[in-house]
Parts: sequence; C-alpha cells; structure tokens
Amino acid sequence: MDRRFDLLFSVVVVALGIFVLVETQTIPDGVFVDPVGPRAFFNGIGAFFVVGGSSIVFRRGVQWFRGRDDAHEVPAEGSKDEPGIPSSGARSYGIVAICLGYVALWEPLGYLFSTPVFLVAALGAMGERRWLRLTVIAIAFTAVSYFVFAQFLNVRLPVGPLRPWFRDLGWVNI
Amino acid sequence: MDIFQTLAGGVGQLADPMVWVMILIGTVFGVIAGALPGIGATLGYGLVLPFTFVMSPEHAVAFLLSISVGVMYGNSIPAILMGVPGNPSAVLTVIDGHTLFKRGEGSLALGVAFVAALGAQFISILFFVVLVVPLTNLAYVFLAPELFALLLLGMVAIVSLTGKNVLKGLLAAAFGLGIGIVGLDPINLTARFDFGFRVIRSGFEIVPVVIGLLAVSELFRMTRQVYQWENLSGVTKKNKFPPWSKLKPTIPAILGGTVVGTLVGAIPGAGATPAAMIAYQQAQLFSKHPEEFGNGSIEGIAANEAAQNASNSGELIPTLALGIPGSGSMVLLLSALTVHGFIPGPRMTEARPELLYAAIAGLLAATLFLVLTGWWMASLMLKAVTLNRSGVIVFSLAVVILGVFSLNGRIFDVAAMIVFGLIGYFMLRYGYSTAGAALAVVLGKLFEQNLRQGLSLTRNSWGEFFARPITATVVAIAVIIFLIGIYRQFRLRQRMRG
Repeated sequence: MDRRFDLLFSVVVVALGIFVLVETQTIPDGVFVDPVGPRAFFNGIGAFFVVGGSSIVFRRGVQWFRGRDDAHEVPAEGSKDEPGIPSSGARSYGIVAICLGYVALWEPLGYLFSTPVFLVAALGAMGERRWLRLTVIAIAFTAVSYFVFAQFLNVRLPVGPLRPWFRDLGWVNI
Repeated sequence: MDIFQTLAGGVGQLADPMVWVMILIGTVFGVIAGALPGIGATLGYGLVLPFTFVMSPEHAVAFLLSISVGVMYGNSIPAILMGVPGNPSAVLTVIDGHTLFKRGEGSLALGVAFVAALGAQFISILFFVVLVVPLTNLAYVFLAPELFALLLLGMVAIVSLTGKNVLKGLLAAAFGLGIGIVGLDPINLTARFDFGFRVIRSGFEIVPVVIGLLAVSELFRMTRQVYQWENLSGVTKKNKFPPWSKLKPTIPAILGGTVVGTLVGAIPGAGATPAAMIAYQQAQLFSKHPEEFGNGSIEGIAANEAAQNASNSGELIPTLALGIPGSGSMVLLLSALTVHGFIPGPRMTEARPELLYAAIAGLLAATLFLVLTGWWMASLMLKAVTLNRSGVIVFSLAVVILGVFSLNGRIFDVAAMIVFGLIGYFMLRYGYSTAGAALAVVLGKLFEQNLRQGLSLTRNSWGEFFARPITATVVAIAVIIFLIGIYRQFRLRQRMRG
C-alpha cells in the first residue's frame, strides 16, 4: 500500500478524534446523574483516536525519515488486490459516485427509471460495452424486481413521474 | 410439559403436509436470502411477513424458522465463494473460507461449512428441547450488569478480528462503538451527535451501517479490478465432498461452537454475531494451529458456522418461553404472532404449546431438507464462478440497495449504507478491521446502555456492579481472553516477521 495515503488516513483519524472531543463537550448533562454520564464513552473514543492515530503518524513518519529510498510502497496491512491484474481506485470512486447519484435520483425519477440508468452506468464503469444487451437486462431486472417487491411484497417504491398513471391503475395509493 | 412430550409434539407437527410445504419454501427462500449480500434473516423475515398473516400461527412459526435455518446455511456460500458475507455473522467465514477458496480448496471450505452448520443445527435442537425450561430461568437472572459482562465478552472477540495491525483494529472498533452510540442518551434521552438532523436523533439504523461496512465496502473494493473468477488460478468447478479424514479435525470446534451458539443465542440481545465471534475466539484459544486462524483455518470456519447456526435454536428460548425477542428476526417473529392474537410473554407457549412444537418442526425439517439438498445447492453455487463477475457485483449492489430501502422505506438508510461502504473501503485498504467496527456497531448501544442502567440498578456503585457473581465471572473471563488474545496476536506477528 502507499504509505502516503496510510499517513493521510491516520491524520484523518487524529482530526476525527479532536472533532469528537470538541463536539462531545456540547452534550448536556441530563437530569439523571450516573457515574458514567452521557459524554464518557465519546471522550474515551475521541482520546483513543487522537493517541492511536498520532502513534501511527509518528511511526510512519519515523520510517519515512529513516528510509534510504523514496519508495512509497510498503507491505499491505489491509486487503490486497489480486496479483497480476491491473487495479484502479478511480473506478471504485466512480462506482461510489454512481451509487450516490442513484440515491439522488431515486425519488425524483422513481425506481423504474433510476434503476436501469444506475445498472447501465455501473456496468459501463466496469468495462461492459454491449450497450443493447446491458439495457435489455437492466430493464428486465427493474421490471421483475419492481413487480416482486412493490406489487407482491407491498414495499412502497417511488414511481416518480409515473405516479398519476399508477394511481389511476390502482397500483399505488399515494 | 416434559422433554419427550415436547420432542414428540414437534415431530407430530410434521404429519401435516402443509407444514412441509411451508418449510420447503421457507428453506429455499432462506438459502437464497442468506446467499445474497445484505439480505439476511431480518430483512428476509421483513419481506415475507405479510404472507404469514394469512397462515395459521403454527405454519407461520415453522415457515419463519425454516427461513432462519436457510439463511444461516446460505450466508456461508457467498462468504466462501465471493468473499462477501451474506450477513454479519458470516464475516469470519469470509476471512478463512474465501482464503481457502482462493487456494483452490473451495470444496473443503464448503464441506466444512455444510457439516458444521447442519450438525450444529441438529444438536442445538436437542439442546433447545432439553434446556428450554432451565435456560428461561437463567434469562430472568441476566439483568443489565450480566448483559454488560456478556457484551464485554463479545467486544473482546474484536481482538481476534484486528488483522495485522492490532492498534488499527482497535481504532476501527472504537469507530464502530462511536457510531453505535450516536443518538439518544440511554438514561436521559438527550440527543448526541445528531447535528440537528431528526433522522439520526435516535441513532443510525444498525442494518444499513453494518451492511455498508461489511458487504458494500467489499463490493466497492472488488470494483478496483475487472476479471472473471474462473480465470483465477486455483479456482475449480469441481464439487467433490471432502473426505472424512479432512473433516474430523473440525469436530471439537463444531461441538464447542454449538454449545457457545446455543447458550449465547439464548441471551436476549446477543444473537448470532457475538455467538460466532466468541466461538471463533474459543476455537483459536484451544486449537493446536492458532496461526492458521485468519489464513484459511477449517476449525475457524467450523466454529463460526456451528455457533451461528446453533444460535437459531438459542434465540428461540427467550423468544418463545419469555416473549423476549433474542434478535431482530425474533422481533419480527413475535410481530407475526401478535397479529394472530398472541400476547408475548412467559405464558404464550403455556397457552399454546403447539407454537413450541411448530418451532421444533421448522428447525428439524429445514435441517433435514438441507442435509439432503444443501450440498447440491452449494455445488450449484460453485458453478457461479462462471457468472460475469462485474454483473454479480453491480446486481448485488442493486439488490442490497433495494433490500435496505425495503427495511423502513427511507432513502437516508441507503445513503448511509453507501457512505459507510466508502468508509469501509478505505478501512479495508489500509488495514482497519471492518469486522471489528461492525461488531462494535452491533454491540455498542447495548454495551453503554447496560453499563449505565446496570449502575443505576446497583445504586451507582461500581463495586456492587462488578461484585455480582455472574458479572464478575464473565468479566474476569473477558479480561483473560483479551490479554491472551493481544499476546497471541503479537506472537503471531513476530512469527510472521521472522
């Protein structure tokens, strides 16, 4: 893994700890007093973030300072990618952005329109290029899943601009 | 009501063909729900609950419990084959099972999971029948201090999940604990860390957060690379059941996991996840090869699968005997029964013992069905390696999003799940244990609540709190296990460095 990002992540942990400690002081005491109180757990967590994160920052900093070369790759401490296959963090961030876009479009466009868009966009981001096939599969999945969840299991899925039409058909009652 | 009468009553329920129909449908649905990341027992129950209103109470109980059995078996399949836990209690199966799969030993991992899951399920049914009466007395004894001690024991299991860097693992657990306790103060009900947003005033919904940290994070991580599973070296489409000689070493872990799962599952608020974590830790402590845990240990898989499957029976004890639901899925089971006019409480099964018999029938018949067809179902899933990996990832995301939305109908839950999935992605990349964080999220709220409410019970006296016999014993065990766990992790790291 890239030690620069590991270092950055550790700095974020320290910053989060400071934020938690500061914000915790705004929690009011309650009417009922107990030996622990409403702030103890958050104070402990914040302090641990600051101390623990600083420890990792210090250790990485010392290793970097003492390092004889500028190589930033260090042994991975987390999940490793499959060896020999190119990896792209940008693709993952793109998928996350597509998921968040899906959430944003869920209510305005409704499930029936936003879902095929999400599926085609996400599969496209994963390198699939058979657009016609993708679109057909996406629409089929959307239709089947809508029928099963909304009509069969009575889950209230938003239908967006189709609401007046579905209401007239008796398929929704909102 | 005695043991033989109860057992005979359960078997007698199987004379009804409709019970079999309910159980078969429920089991298959359960396996599918367990195999789909993010669905699981609670969501699976939530989706089929409307159908139970038209069934008789006995059919409803048998149907719902067969779903539980199916889910607990099914969640090991994606855990081993794809490295994605079907639900939180399978996360340790991912760590060891998927490692074995990548080494070309997927059949061994699936075989161990099969034997452990179904063996534990059978044995735990017997435990359930034998212990239901005395264990319900024990449930009365477990007040807030004792529950805190048990949750502390569950939290200590985090040490086994810290991965290569213990400090990062504990930081992840602290993060999870913080997320778990956001919301209303358990004593004074004042809002904490809600930043004025009403939607999180009561705290985050646990299911979206845990699914985000465990399942969605892994799905996001999987999108870093594009390849097909069948192209990986060592992946095999063979589905040969492993020989007895390879399964025999897992027997102690299965038996230990069964006992832990049944007993821990019987404690209200505990459930499959802490049961699995504790059983895993115990198995590592007593194993002759502790260094294999986390690197493809069949004992680890066996202990985890046995405990989470045995907890099915354990959870039923307080649910049916006392009317205290042992888990989220048990809450839904009781909800289904209230529609039929039952009042949850200690007299529920006294008035209608057929509910107990139906529970036994559901567990027994579902397990028998899986003994006959479970290996075939898992073998079918082995053929899943020919599926388009990108398609599976994207459609899994779509199903998870739909499933989480179905819980409460709130798009905020979906957004939270994606955000925690992104956080979990970075945690996975840089060595912060998502499993530790998820465990802490699940246990955190109860952990703080039971500590503070327990202190109220003991007149704010720490001494009186920790002097309670069960509390003191369990806390002492937790401290010892924590210290041994930390020591072992350092020893393992030193060995790996050497």
